Amino acid sequence: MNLKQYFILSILLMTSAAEAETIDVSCVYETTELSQQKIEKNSQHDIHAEKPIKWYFWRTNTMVEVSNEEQSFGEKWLLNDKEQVFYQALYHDKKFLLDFQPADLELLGRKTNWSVRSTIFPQNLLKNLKQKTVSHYNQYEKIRYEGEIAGIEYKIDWLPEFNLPFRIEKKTSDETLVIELKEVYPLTETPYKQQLTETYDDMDYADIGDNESHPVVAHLQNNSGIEYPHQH
Amino acid sequence: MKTNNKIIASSMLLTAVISSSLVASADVKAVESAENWYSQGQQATEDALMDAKKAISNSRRRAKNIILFVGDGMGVSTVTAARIYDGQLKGNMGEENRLFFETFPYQAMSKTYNTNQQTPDSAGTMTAMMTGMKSKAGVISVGQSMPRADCTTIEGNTLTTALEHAEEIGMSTGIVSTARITHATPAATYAHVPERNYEDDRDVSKMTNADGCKDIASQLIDLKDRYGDGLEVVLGGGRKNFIKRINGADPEGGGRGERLDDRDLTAEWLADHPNSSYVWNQSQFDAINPVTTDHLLGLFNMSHMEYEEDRASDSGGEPSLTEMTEKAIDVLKKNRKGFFLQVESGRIDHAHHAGNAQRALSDTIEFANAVKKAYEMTDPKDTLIIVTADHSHVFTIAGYPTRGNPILGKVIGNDGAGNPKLNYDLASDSMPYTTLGYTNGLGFADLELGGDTRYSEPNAAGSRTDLTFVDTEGQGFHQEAMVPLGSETHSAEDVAIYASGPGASLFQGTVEQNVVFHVMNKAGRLSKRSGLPPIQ
Repeated sequence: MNLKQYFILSILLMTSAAEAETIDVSCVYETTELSQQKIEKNSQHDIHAEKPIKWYFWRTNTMVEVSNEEQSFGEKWLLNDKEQVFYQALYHDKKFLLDFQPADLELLGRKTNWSVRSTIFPQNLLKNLKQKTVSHYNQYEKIRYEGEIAGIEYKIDWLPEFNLPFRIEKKTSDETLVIELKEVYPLTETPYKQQLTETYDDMDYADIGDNESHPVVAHLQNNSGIEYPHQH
Repeated sequence: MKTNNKIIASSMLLTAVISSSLVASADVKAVESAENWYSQGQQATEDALMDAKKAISNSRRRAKNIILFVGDGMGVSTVTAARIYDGQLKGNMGEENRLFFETFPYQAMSKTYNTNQQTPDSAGTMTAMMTGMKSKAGVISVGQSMPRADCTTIEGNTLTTALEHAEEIGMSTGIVSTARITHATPAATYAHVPERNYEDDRDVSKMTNADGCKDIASQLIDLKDRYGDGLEVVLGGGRKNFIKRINGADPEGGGRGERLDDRDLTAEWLADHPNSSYVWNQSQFDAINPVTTDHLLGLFNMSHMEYEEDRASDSGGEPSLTEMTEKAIDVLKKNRKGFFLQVESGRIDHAHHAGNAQRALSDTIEFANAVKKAYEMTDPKDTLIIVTADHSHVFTIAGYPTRGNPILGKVIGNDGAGNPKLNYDLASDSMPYTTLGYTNGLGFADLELGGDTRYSEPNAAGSRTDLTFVDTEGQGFHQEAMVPLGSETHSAEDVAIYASGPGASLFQGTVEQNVVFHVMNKAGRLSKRSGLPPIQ
């Protein structure tokens, strides 16, 4: 699994609906994958941890953006008045972005649930977990939720103040995924600024076919591929 | 990918395919006979003789109205496959069917190359058809000597379009497209810029030197300052290129557009024209009264409009190409001086690029419906209708399928006696293959929804897939391809021109694509009446 895929995986598991207030924040998260490899010879389990992947998260009421640590690739979702979600794949290193219209996302079967996107973890799943202890992260309340849903064990530390997870632990039979908040700031005070994309070369997703000779499109198709990484 | 979700038992599939084929075969055999083929051919020849006799007078008659239909990427193989698909959707064998425009009396073949490219793009080809002069790929109605994306030499390289001649004469003018109305094909009717991607002012970054040029959307709105009173009808997609880049600019969802120059071109349209309307959804479109509306702007999608296959699911609601054509003619025909209308089916091309023949063929059928509507609404004695394509695609109809074999299906050939076999024909790799395919592109995929979704899946071209249990006739099926490319490409082969009405007989033989303009010009006496020079 390459870094980009790992970064993508970090949010892949988060789906479904949530209805909650959000505040404008900037966060740094880390995702760690722990794979359990059974050693056949002596029936022991060897737990192998991948190097944690750092990623950035920015949120307002109408915008969610994420970026990998190198800030070479990011994604942005924009919400309009009609609750339609527009998506942009941001190739920062190439100063290029791909615009996906709501119709594109619908065709791709990847219509985005805004509230899930903006809170990272689906609230309906959270509601199905048992509330355990209450502790604190700095001055903020942190609530522990635990439980098993569809064969997956969850341990969630939730920050209701931000409507965001402090820590997510998702455990299946052969791997454990941990996402942990490392830093959080009010959006206006964050040291981690979103990259300005207004001057990027842009293209509609539907125009890819007519631009096979476009240098960035050609490069993407020959290497990492044109993709809409966050699948529901 | 949902390939495994669409498994159908092969025996059931084959039984269904062959039994339906045989039923249809029996029906057609009642009509088709050696005698019928003979008399049908004889009648076609008599019809041709009549057309030939009329050709001289036809060539001299003046066209009051001119309608240029362009199926973007609608090569000959697309017309053939769409004709068969249309016939089969009507319950017939298919091959004997004719799309409406195939009944037009005069035809020619068009050589589509650009001045700098063997296989052309839409910008250079539409420039040829609209100005009478071929040019290079990627440029919009400017001369071939201009460097792409550099406006330094725009003066002296601006090629006058048929639409501009018509405006100057006082005819009403309109453009209709299922693509963005600033996309290459419609843009070449009213704009002049050496870079097709300069669709709004924010695209200035795509130019190496934009001094001397305006973005395409602003040229549409400002046409009234250059010729006549500007366009009367503009219907298509591409709303984002006309509205400001501020939240709330989009009337449908409150999102933002692309314009950084603080211009809302939709508001300017309303302010500039008396009895004008701006609509952006189906219900507003339906409410337009063409009798009281003299200038109609309809922008139904932020980007391209939906494929016909997906139109019903559009959130805002979109009119069909036929409905837009009908409304456009209703508005335009009020002018006693006549009208010039250009109608594009812009997404045939997009579906082919994505390797999804079903959507390309569905859009082609809808395109033919729009032509039929235009023909029915006008008088062939005074209206020249031209139907053509800007270029073709590497889209093939292959193998030896039996008569009536589903055009989107796998090949079932005939046995030694000439009757349909009971099993699919197998290639040398022992796997069945589809009749339709592409020489290059992304290749096979079977997705929940076809079309542009293909770009988000891995490239599968260059290797075969066992299609035995795959429903190749579904809308989500993407045909196999040989050479792996990021998208399927245009092809350099000729495209057909079909014509009806005054001047239509001027289309003869194989011609350079720029002849399309000259036939319109001669039939409509356009440059003669406008007095505009061909190059400005």
